[in-house]
Amino acid sequence: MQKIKFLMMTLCGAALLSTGCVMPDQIAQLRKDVADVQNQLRRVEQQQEDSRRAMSELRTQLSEETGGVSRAEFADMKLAVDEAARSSAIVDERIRETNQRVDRMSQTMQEVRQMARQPATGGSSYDYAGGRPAGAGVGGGEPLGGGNDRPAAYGAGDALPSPEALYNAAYADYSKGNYSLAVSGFEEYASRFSDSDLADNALYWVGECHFAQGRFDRSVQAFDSLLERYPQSDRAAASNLKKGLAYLEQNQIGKAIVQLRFVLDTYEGSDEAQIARDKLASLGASV
Amino acid sequence: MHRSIRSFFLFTVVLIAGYGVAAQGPDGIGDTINKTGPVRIKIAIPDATAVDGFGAVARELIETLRADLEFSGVYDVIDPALYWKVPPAGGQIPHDDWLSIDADEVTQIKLSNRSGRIDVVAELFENNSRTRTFGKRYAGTKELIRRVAHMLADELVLHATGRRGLATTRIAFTSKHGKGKELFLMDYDGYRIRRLTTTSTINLTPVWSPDGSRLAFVSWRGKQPGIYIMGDDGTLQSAAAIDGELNAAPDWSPDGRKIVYSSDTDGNSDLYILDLASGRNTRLTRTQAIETAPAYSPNGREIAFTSDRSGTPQVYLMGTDGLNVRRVSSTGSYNESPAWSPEGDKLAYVSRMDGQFEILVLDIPTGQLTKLTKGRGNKENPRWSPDGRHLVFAWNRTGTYDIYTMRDDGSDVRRLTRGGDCFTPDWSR
Amino acid sequence: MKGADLMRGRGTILILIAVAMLVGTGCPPRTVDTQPAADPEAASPPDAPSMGGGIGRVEDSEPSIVTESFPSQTIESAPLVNDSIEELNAQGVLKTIYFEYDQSELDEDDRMTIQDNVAWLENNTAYNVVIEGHCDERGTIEYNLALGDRRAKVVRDYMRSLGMPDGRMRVVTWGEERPEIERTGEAAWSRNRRAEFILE
Repeated sequence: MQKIKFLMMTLCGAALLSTGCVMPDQIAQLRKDVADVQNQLRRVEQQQEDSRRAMSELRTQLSEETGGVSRAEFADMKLAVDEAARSSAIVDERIRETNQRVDRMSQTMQEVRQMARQPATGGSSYDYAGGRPAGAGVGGGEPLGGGNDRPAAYGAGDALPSPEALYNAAYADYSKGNYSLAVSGFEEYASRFSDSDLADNALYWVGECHFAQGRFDRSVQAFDSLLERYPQSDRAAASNLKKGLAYLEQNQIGKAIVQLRFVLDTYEGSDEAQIARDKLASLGASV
Repeated sequence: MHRSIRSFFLFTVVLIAGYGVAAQGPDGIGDTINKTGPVRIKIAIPDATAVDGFGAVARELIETLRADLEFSGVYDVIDPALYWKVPPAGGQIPHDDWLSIDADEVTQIKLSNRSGRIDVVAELFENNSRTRTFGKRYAGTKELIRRVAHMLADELVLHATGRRGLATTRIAFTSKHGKGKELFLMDYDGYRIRRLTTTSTINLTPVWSPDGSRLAFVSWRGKQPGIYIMGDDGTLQSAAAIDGELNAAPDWSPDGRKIVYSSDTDGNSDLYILDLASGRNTRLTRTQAIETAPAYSPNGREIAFTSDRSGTPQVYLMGTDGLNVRRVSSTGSYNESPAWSPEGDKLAYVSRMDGQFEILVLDIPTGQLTKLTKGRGNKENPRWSPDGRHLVFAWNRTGTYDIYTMRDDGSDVRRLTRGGDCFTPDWSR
Repeated sequence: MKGADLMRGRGTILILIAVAMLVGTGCPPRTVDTQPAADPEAASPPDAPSMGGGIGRVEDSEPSIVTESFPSQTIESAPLVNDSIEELNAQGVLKTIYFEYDQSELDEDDRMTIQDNVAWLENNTAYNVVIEGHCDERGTIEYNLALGDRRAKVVRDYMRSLGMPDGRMRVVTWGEERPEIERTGEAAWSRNRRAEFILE
């Protein structure tokens, strides 16, 4: 884990340095670094998987073989298992976060390369209120998410806002309750940066905006188009669940139940499945 | 220095736009202006005329009004030290003399005695057009004179901008009292402190309902910390939260119908939403970690909260359906107490930096993070004023915690309480 | 957890025996007040015929044995027991444990202390225990509430594994609201990050 941290830091440093002008050989180096980090991550994930298995075996042992063990020894073991389970959950979360960052970073490099190759042409149809491109400070990346791992200043002075600034401005419109504006912002993002790491998120927000306005048909359409275009998206489970919730809002109970059961079966063990289970229970439907 | 920038700017804008209409500066003017605030109306507030025995009350009214209007950001009160230049004109208002000391507007306030109660007549005049643009009469007891001043100030702000001012808003907070911490209330300027509870136990984190008629808070008056709702009609009820040994950190939905809170009923603190009418609880988070300090977004569709799922407390966002969880804070090992600005475009939270808590504000459209506070001690529990121009917070600068306010850029820090060990403020809407 | 169940079961039996003994030796009525198990019905062997579930009938047909057998003695000793709970708490028969900064893990010393506390409670079944979780003042108020809760629950779970029945334990968090030492600095803070065991 320590090694990964170090790599990440060098990587971040390199990414920041690259903000101004990016040399092709630097990009090649960055790509290599990202690949290294990804490999390391995979190894950590494997180790994590192993220790999880070991832990669950220990748990089984604990519950089966209590004979011959003193009560205090038993309690100590149980405590150790509980503590290990908690640390393990933390490691899981950190791996997830690091994965996101690495994805975003490789994504950003792609964007930088694209931008370097073909300068922006044409204007933005979205009434872009944000004006300034985001600083490379904290809170960049996914709206309020991410971190300072995303070189943000490209696009400054161009006719078009940077992808990140466009996304943030659309999200700001959402949080201010300007849903129609937010829809056009996110739609523009999703079509102009369809390869971007955040394109699926943008479509998710389109669905949320329609949902907020009570336009549930269009909300379902947005989630459908997300699922169609990005079936592997990390927003897939949530999108499917939101479809079910939209049916519920429209009083299409039968359709909603089918959809919620689909979420429950397809994304077993996820938060979304839990929420689907709760909803089904509150509807009095069998799970 | 601020003042000179502001005066210069005001001068130019008045030339272009004419006075009176320029209460709210045009949007997106530039950085200099954003720092000094929108264009202000220059107003003179001379002493009131009062019948015998009401001199002190009159002075309190005028001083309160001046402070309120200065704080409002809408008016710029001309320094009373200049008023001697305007000689009394025997019943007539000397508009030209007021204009000579740059007063766009001037008030005329009279206090009289009406069978033991005070009668206040307040009028506002535009000096250029020489017309009366506002007039109102207030009556009340002497003790309520500050309240009268606040009401008048808010009316004047409403008159100028179409939006009500802050002067009648209140701040709820907790303070040490005997063995416990009790709930208190004060005017936004720190005056008129009133105690709301007498429990001799711990009461924490009062939050105003959006309509200002109720306070939700945490209390140990039962065997366990639980959530209670106090009404302005003197009622007190226990919120129908789910079981658990810790129910805490309530916040109201913008429509006042729901409360989001944290409960440990499933072994550790997770977030739930309580629908007040039906008493139904909906679970939002399902981790082995601590989730707490939830804050409803002004659009009612998102929750900002704290979670230590990654090992340390960090600020996250999610939908009110529990979906779409994203981490917000990315620097530092301890980020907590998120608070949305009323417009929904900013998120304030506390962050531990060099061993003490500072207040940061994230500007959502630009992604820019700004540190608002400086100086020794912990600054905690930031909450926004209803107009989003100020924040109230607790700070132990002097060794004990007091309640302070500041502008949304960190300037104009004011201390409201003095040495009462005061915590967890919330500004009424 | 089979083991835990087993131990909980054993704990319950222990209480039943202890209660039966207390009733037999004329222990003060406080036991009767706080321990439903002291009800004559509950004290009967598990395989005894049911009383039919009518609580009113039980009271009618079997007037309180305890008060009848020891009329004046009981009344006099009742306040003594109440006092002694406070006394015992003041004496600190149950020892407080202390945590590392921002942590809720139990080190070896903590575990030994808890084991001693559990042993005391098993020998003194008339008392229940409140486990109070506390924090130092350095965190935020809301997070510290949750952290105090987590600390208390880690301790409770450990006590449960040691065989202490859930019915005798209660958890309360006080966050940073009730420090042991009201001062700043690590010397005070390290005493304030703690779990206290209060008899009730």
